[in-house]
Amino acid sequence: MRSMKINTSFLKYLDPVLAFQLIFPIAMLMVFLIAPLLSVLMVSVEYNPVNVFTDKTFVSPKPRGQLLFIREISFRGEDILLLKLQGISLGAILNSIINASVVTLCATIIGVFVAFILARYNFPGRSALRIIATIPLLLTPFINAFVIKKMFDWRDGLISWFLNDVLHLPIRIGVESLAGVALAQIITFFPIVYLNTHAAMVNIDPSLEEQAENLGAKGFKLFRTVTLPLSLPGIAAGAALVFIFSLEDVAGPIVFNEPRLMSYQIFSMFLEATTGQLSPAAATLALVMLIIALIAFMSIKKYVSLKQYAMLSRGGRWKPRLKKLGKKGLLFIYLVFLPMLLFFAFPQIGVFIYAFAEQWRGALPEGFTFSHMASIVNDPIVFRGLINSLQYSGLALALIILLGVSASYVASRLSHLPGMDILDMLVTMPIALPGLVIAVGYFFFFKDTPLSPIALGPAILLPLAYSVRRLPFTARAVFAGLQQLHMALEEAAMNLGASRLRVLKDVVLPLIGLNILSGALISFVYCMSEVSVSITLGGLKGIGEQHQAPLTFVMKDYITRVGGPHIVAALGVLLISVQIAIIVTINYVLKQRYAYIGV
Amino acid sequence: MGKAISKVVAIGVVIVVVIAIVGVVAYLATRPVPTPTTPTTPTTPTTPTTPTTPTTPTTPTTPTTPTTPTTPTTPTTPTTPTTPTTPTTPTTPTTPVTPVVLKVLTRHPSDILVKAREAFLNSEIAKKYNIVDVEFILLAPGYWKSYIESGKPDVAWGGGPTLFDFLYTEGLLAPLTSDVVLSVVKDIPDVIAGVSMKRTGPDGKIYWVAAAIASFGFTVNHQRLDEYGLEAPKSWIDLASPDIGRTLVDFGEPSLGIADPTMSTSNTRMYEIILQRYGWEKGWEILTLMAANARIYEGSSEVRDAVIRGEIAIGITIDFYGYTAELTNPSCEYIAPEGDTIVNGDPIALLKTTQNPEAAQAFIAWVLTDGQKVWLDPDINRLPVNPKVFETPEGQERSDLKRAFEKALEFRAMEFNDTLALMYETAMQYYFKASLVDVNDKLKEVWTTLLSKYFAGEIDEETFKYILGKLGETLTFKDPETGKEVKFTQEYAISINKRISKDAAYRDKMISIWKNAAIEKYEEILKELS
Repeated sequence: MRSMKINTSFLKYLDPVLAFQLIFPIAMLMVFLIAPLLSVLMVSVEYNPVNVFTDKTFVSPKPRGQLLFIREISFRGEDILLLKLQGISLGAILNSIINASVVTLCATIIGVFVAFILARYNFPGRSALRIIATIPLLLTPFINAFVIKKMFDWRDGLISWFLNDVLHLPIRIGVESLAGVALAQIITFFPIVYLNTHAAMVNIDPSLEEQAENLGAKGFKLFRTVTLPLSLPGIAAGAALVFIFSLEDVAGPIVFNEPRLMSYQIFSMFLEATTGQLSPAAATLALVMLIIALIAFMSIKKYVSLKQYAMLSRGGRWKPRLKKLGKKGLLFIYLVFLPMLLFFAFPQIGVFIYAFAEQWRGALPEGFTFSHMASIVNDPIVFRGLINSLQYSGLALALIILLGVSASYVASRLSHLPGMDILDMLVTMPIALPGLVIAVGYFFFFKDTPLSPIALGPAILLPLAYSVRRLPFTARAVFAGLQQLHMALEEAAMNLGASRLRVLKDVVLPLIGLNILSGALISFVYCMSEVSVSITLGGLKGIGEQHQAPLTFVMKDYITRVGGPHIVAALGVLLISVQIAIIVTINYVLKQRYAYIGV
Repeated sequence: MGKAISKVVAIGVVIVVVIAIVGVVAYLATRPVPTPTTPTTPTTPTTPTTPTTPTTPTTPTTPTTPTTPTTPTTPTTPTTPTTPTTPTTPTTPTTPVTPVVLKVLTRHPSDILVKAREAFLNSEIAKKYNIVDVEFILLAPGYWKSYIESGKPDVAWGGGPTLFDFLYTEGLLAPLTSDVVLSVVKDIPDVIAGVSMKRTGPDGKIYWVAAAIASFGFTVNHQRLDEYGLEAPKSWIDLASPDIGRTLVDFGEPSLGIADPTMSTSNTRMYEIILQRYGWEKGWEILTLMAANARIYEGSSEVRDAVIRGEIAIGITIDFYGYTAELTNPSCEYIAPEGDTIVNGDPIALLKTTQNPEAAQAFIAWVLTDGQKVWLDPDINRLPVNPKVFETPEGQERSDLKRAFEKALEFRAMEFNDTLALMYETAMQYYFKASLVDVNDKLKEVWTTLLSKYFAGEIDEETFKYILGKLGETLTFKDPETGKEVKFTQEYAISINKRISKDAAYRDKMISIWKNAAIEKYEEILKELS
């Protein structure tokens, strides 16, 4: 009945307000998303993209370096075995692809394993473990990778200290360069797979598994033939997101001083952009990255679309089917599983240690101080960065809400209109777009316009970039709310003579207010901790007393200053607090269930 | 229908309001233009060298575009200022009635500026001249000329003698005239380590004066050196020795740290020192082996931090980074390779565009007297130029810097030709990046293979020397313009310097050619070795 009505007279629905809601997001996304991406393509084609592939530092047929360095050495008057994981290089482009694949594979195995245990077994402390498993997802740009590097330093790292100095084993272990980047990314990103898989697993109809059990499937067979296939969409989505995030991660390569990755190459080309020049090779690398990311996105397009998300976020319709664990199982949980999760959460714990320790040069931290926390306010450069980020994120949020509500409303109310899938895709695509590509696109597209980031500084483009990049979080939450709001309510109001604007104001917005709020809060957190665009475009005017750079740029700058990591850690603590506060607010105060799909 | 129109109007109003909010906030956020900014890169903006970016200002035409000296005949010390428009010397040195805000163009990093501003505004002299604020404008050298002409700043402070000599030849500097500053300038040594600390024009007037001095050398971490069983290096050539490379073979770990010259002005200057001290050919051999021995960082401050953390045992740094390292980690020490380095005076000068010549000179006088204490701050650690500061209570607390200062006075410095360095600088930076930084993993593979064979006694001294020579030789490649085989000689570097700094596409092409030529050479040597 309803659909027929829309089909025959949807034009009636297309009143000016609705038209605005349709045109505004499309126009904005065309100018601030599609056009910059096209300019990447244009610059790259003009320059001749083949150059990049004949360059042996980008694509090298011969592998360089060694994966594992093993040697008996004499160190600090002791004969020990030195074991270092280093990594093989095949040129920046291939390295990035291989790195992302390895990270995705490892993160997926770990994530599925963790999700399966937490979704299918019951034991005391399970909910605590569920929280611990998500800790690595708390964003602390730069400093968490810094902590991981510190843990695995073969001279002054915690691991080697524990093995050599505490246990007196004649062995020292190090992880560095490409291997270090991969390790840092696996630890940081596996919860994305875990959360998506967990959400998929608790959404499986328990009767399916029960039937399989009745037919005799048990243990691994049950998992392999029933649970795994049924949770595959969740796993695939998580894995694809990890792949994209790993591809564009630039904090890991910076901290591990590893330039042989595409993301680092693009970033370092940006360092000279202050002069108004940007190497066209950056555009080609960005294009390669974009193509790879788009392929990954297309494979999970359906899963991250507004519609699918709305289903997913309802989550947990079934009574969870949990098995009690026996003694052996419990031993495994507390002696293997828990330490493993704590190990993954250590970078965030290390951030706290860095923030409150006077110094941490040897294996163990020394002293306790609040002075690093105080620096957030006392250091004018850091404080300015914080204020800038708050301003940019606030501004971005205003746009995100306007865009997100408009796009979602149109997408849900005019869903029968042809081509509405394109709007859905436009709105959700930014989740899978590498920020570096957007930064390069913005640079080339706006370079000669009044919005030029070189002349004006990043203060205008950053909020716009943030709003595009973080739009999906709000749009999906709003769409989920709209799906549950029956159209009859609006029709009734309209029949009584209310205009579309009035219906929106008095009926729709009050009913989906909580969805908007929770989506907006998530978008806000991710604006504050945005890295790729912030450290490239955001740094174009440098930092000084009255600088325009956002917080994450300041973090990047301070990580290389004397005593700087402590201040970056203090900022990390601040970001963690904000994130925890927001997650708690959403889940417990607003009682919004939201599936935490990704960064 | 009327309703529909009112809706449209309402939507229009909403859009306009949103745009207005965006505009206002964006305006508020961007308002303090030009803001004091430091370059994005973790460079050392204070080093008395040349631009961070491939911009070496000289041509009066377009100051924003990177240019290099056009005439190779320019004398090292410019003697003829074109138009030294002297600001009208005020006759009444009495307190000005109107409050003065000084505009200071600078290359110093913000931590120095924050401290200097606070100390100066609290000083007697600032009150006497009714100076209520100092606005610092931190700009890359390429923008200085155009900014001086448009922004009319009062004082230029920090950026190295090359930059200030450029301003002087362009006629942008005004001579110091006020008694307040001239009486102070007398206290400053005319020459330190053979380098002039003042620029005097043919008219006998002083156009710039050094406010701080700096030398170039290496910072070592003694704890790490001991653990690795290494000796502290004494000269640049030591950094290219197989001994330093021993850790590569033993621990899979470089013991030396250097920075990418395209990202660091101070490291650029050190490579230029090496190229001039040992000559172009031998110089490149040393640079190649240094790069083979080293982990290459993105900026000079990263090198300093890596030494402090012990990630590397030796890092090449400017002296004040070394002093900071000494204070942060007691096992660190700064070593200046005597006879192998230069001392630079980092100038301050009055600009001809100043609107407040008396107040501006009062600021300069302050920088040369009480302001010298800013250098003594434990977070800054630069060498002052005025020895009198060591007589103050603050100065007496820094006996370490005093010793370093006295050492600098007796320092044997090398001859260094600034103008020549500028003529090939950009080409040198990108050639270094392409042949040594970007393909560093390949270079290391060759070097590690060579070293392990050498240490194991599989190859004799003679073969080793022969391969070293081959490895260190500058590249021969096909010039993209002429299609002829060329070698990267000093003359060639000078001939392409201008184009490489201006034309990004040409630069990318050259980088790509050099990278591939370098890989080819390294692979050839590798084949020879196996």
